[in-house]
Amino acid sequence: MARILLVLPILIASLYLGGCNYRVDKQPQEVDPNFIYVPQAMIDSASYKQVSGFVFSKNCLSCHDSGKVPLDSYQKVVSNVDKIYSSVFIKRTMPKAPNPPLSYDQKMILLAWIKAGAPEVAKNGTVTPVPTPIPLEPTFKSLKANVFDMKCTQCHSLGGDAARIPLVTKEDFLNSPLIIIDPQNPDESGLLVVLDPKFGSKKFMPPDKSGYTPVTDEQLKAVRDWIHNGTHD
Amino acid sequence: MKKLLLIALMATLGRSQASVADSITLSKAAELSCHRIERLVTLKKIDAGYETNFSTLTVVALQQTQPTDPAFKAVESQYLGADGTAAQIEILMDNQGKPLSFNVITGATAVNAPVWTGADSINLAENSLHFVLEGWQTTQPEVKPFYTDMKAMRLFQVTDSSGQVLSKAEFLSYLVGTTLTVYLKTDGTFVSAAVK
Repeated sequence: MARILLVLPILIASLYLGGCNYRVDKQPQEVDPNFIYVPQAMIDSASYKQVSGFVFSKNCLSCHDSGKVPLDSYQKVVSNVDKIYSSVFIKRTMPKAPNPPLSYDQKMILLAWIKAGAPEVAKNGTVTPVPTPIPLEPTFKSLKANVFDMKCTQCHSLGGDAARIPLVTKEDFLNSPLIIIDPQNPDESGLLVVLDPKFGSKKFMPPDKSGYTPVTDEQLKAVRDWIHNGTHD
Repeated sequence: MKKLLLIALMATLGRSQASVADSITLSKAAELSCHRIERLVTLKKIDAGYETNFSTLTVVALQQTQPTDPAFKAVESQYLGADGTAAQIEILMDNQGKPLSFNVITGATAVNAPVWTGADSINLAENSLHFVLEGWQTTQPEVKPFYTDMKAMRLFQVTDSSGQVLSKAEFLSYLVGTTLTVYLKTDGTFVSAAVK
């Protein structure tokens, strides 16, 4: 009995101290991409065309169409695949604002493709339908897909830093009191003034801080032609 | 005769109310005039001094006799020149703030205009106006008379107690006798605002 009385406090004390022996882990938790469920069939049918159409062209190319980590061709993407994996799934630093984060479905597609070994064509030969790219031409539909939504809309829409100058609909461009499009003097249109470096505008767009690359010469020509040709749909 | 006068008065009131309802506010017209001046400078249609030597901006709603008449006139004045005159530019706008025309009033080259290291003076004026356009809706409802009925603004360069150079914009309203003061950093970011 005396032995029990002696051992019992020690037992209670050890349980008490042991029970409180937890710690808050302040190290950043790495996201295990395996939490994203990727069916084997998806891995087998993953292709560059699919991942490019659903992920890179929508969330990456507005910044990564040139620069240190270009993602505008299969060869360039494959040479950067480790960086892509790390920045999306481990460090979670990409895509950067103002680009929206990848959706769960987009992460699945990207991870399936990486798990498949970043193939150009699907292992099982499947050709997955992907959004057909709209060719760059001087129409609003084409410019919206290839230029405005890639370089402008994220900031120039509700909730964006430049929401007071919306650039979402064609009417936003045509009816703005800022004379974004000037039908009388097309070359003085605000859109050209801020996109074309020859004007030397202090409000050159996209601004450096956005991370977006400037429009290409081809994109600028399409915008200029669109304005000169009467801003067709 | 009295009936005729009454009908004419009602018709006039009805027209002016309709035009007011379709129109932007005076502060928005002021902000849009700043954008226009920047554009004119970029297009090299006016002197760059209108961007760098901004001193004051006044804005007034005009009486329209026809829908195509200008609805607003904004006048930017640069800092005074050596002979006491100031270069000015008038911007006429429709009731949505679209610029209709501009008129440059020649004055002497500005002297003693502050040198800004970050944003241009007109950019600072524009960013101060952004607070007038949006601040009353969120943090400071007492700013509203300056939003709806702005009369004028003046831009200064000041130094705070820690030695930091700031932009100070003072606003007047047609509705109230108080002054709205907006402080910005020289890069155009907001610091503080007060109505006194």
